[in-house]
Amino acid sequence: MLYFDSAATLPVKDSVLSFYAEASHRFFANSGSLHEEGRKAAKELEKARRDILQTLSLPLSYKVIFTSGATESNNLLIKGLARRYAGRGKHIITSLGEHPSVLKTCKQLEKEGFSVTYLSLDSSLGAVSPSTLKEALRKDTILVSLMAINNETGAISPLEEYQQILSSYPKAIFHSDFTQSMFKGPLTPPYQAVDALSFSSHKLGGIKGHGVIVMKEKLDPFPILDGGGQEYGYRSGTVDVPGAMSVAFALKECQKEEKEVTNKVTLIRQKIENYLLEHKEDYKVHSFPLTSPYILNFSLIHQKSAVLLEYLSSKGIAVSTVSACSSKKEEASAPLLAMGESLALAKNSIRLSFSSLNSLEEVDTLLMHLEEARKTLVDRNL
Amino acid sequence: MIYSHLILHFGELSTKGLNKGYFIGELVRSINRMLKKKYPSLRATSDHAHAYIALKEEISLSALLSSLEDIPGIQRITPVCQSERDLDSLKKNALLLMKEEKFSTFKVHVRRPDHTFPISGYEIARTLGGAVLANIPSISVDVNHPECTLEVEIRSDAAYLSCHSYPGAGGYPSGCAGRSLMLLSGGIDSPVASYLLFRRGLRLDFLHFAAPPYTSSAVIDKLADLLHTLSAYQEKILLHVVPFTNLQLSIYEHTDEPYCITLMRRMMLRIASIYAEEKHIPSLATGESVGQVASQTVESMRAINAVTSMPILRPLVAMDKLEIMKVAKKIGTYDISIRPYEDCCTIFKPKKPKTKPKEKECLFYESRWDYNLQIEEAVEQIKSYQLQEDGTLLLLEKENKQ
Repeated sequence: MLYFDSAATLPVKDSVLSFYAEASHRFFANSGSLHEEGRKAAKELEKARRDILQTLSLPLSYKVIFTSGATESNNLLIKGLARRYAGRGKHIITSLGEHPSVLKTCKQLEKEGFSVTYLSLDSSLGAVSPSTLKEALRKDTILVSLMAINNETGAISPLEEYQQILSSYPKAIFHSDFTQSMFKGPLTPPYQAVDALSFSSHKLGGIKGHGVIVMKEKLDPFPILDGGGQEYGYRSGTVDVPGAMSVAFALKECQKEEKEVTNKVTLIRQKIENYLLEHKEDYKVHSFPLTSPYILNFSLIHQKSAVLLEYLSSKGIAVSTVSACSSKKEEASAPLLAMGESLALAKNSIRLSFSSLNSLEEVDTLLMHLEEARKTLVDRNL
Repeated sequence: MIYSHLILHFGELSTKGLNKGYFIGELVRSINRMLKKKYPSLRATSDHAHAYIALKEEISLSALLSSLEDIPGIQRITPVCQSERDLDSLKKNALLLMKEEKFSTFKVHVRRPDHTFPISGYEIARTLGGAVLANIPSISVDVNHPECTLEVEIRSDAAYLSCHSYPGAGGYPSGCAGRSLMLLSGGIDSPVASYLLFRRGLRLDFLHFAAPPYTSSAVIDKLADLLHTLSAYQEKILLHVVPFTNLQLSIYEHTDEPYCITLMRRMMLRIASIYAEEKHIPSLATGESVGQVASQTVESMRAINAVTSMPILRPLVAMDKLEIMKVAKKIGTYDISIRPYEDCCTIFKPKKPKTKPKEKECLFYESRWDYNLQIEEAVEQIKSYQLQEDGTLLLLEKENKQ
């Protein structure tokens, strides 16, 4: 299997797994227990929080909350912050290109009486242009949620420019979904640009089922889960201490490898993009001034993306599309639509995403099959 | 629960002279297959006249009845109550039964298979009838056209009382009416057609046309789920998958768009006929309903049928889509059928299909290339799967052709 779907998930790294296995045995106790074993686990949990902040070069005063994944992190932050600070205002800003865990959460808040502005993406940036954000801001804006790197297109958002604009709106809390953006090379926006960020462990080669919220100390989201008051009361439930430790470990591993892997995937992406650009009549590459080297998104001009996915899958190559092979339920890529791409191209987009597991030799195989598919697959506009 | 047994009446079986034993055996096997799955504590037995299920206290009668109503070959289901053979017990149970019923006229019908029983049938009927009249208000006896009949049967072990029957699915027991090769797409219609044919006692093999990469390989999982649902009606289920891509592409290369679907159906039937012949299956079956889509007009059926001499069973031919959907929901295939993954991707869907195709035109298009070779190749490469107990499909090794 040639795996070009790293943005969906990654296999757990051997180093993480063995670290996790050992931690599971050594620190199995409930971090809320008062006996020696419990206190040991609680200490490790606090150390994991510190480790994460140190790895991200963030002040140790920040809060780190462990959740079940980025979806829960986004839900807890957006719902929790909106509900907590509703007294200051009821306006939220996000973009049409966000992940469903942000978009649907905002839709839910609309039902609860919040007003949400969904910004379009700038077609040249692939992200919200700073001036659009500026125009949308209101006196009663309490929350802005804009992702750092788009999970479908790889477009990088200018978070620092957003931050500068937001500095004159002290009521507006700035959240960013960093799920595709943890240690993804020098272009990645700085973690310091936002008030709160969320990410998950499995996209870093960590254990599945673990997510993180990192936020400034002053933030106080209203909890979704009530119970024993773990995680500062924000997320009740017995804490998976070995899991939390494994997240901190996986993050550190990513930081160590960042430079090497980024160099490698940059070459891989470049090679594939070059091929695609040679056939402009068949492919439209979605490229932006700031694009993650880990993601390459292109649309098929004449073919159906579901057919190409099926074709590549039968050759043992995994890629990603938005829509399945179905006439009834054809979905289109939200970010591509949000930047004004045509429906046909938004429906027929393919995402390739890369990791340390890929090699340039794999790219040769991929390109061979892409070329074969380009020549043989039947035109969709029959 | 007042009832102790269910009596299952055979339907059209009574017309089956010497084969009757075989039919009854098949029916009891299919009843027990259902019981084993849903009610492991129950078992059906039979004699030359009926099948029987001894009930248990914890069983929900209405749920069991609705499961039995799906089984082809059962005409009528009668819950009966077992009673001591003395008159007091008979009276008590007769009243319990009759109080559940709504009627204004009734009669009592007594049979005494145990002729040594000391009380005469007339005497029993008179006593029980009197008791019912005395205890249920505003009813009368009508021996000619009663709304409700209290049946009493005195056997040597006990007496049995009943007064209500439920309709069964009718038809013939699974597998008794011969075999057919069903073209299964994965949509709503073909599973319903399969169910109706099962009910008529047919044994089905399933044939699916796959055109990867234009159709998703995930469709196989969907088919497995559909077949798993249909496995309530047939013990052993085989799915044969035809690789159809090459033919499909040739059709689209050589045919003008409006005729593509007609030619595709003709090629499918050719392949199905050859394969059915190979497997000694004497008929084909489809989920077509007249007029539903362009390829299902009578003109179209004529142009398509022309390629085979096999009978093509179309049990849905006169059913409305809404009726079909209703049956699909009843047998539990609807929710599976509406999952995405088309049998044929939209790429191959012509914008304006011919609603009244002519065979002459079909022959003209087909003369443009040698499709026979592709048909042979497709038949050669058919893969057969057997549905497993757990609902997965197991690829069968090809039998060596002699």
